[in-house]
Amino acid sequence: MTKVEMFQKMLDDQKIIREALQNGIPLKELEKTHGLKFATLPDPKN
Amino acid sequence: MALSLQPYLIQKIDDQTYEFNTENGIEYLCSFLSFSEYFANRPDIAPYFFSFNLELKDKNVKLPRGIDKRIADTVITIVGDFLNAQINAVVYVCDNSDGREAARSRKFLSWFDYYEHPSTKIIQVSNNFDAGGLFIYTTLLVHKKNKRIKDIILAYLDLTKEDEK
Repeated sequence: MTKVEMFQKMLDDQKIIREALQNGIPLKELEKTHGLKFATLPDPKN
Repeated sequence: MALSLQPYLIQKIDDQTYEFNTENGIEYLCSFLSFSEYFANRPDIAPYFFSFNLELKDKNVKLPRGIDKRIADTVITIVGDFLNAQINAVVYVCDNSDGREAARSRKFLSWFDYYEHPSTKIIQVSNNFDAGGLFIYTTLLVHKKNKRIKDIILAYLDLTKEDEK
């Protein structure tokens, strides 16, 4: 992957995440459909 | 100086997503996407790189005018807690879909430039560059006590280095 392709993919992935969240699709689904992996978050401290 | 952040209530809506709502009723969602694939030449530290994503829950919402400092406080809290384990690093790549990436970059940098922010804890490195005609604004955030900090910064600078022409 060239550097241009890398950064284009980063921006494309942001768009995929945004659209998923705005459509109520859990990010876990994107792991299956797009191979995106997310950090498992701890409970917030608040 | 003691930290005096006033973040909004942060809620975990699933294992990958935090949500917070502002006093104006604006809902934000946050997540950290693995960036390990972009550091394939550094498999020893690649798993520790993540991007930070902050999104509006409703794409049609009308944002109020003015600055809501508590949004910055909330983001600082979320990202700060993520980095406090002193293992991970966060790369923020500014969305350029609406042509406002430069403003977005300035705002993000200012959030982590707070006078009383834990600058004692987090290092911010920013590198903006031209990737074949695509101008990219990026920032790296890493905890000062991260044992791999030198390797992490070098790997980030290598990733965001302009290709030689």
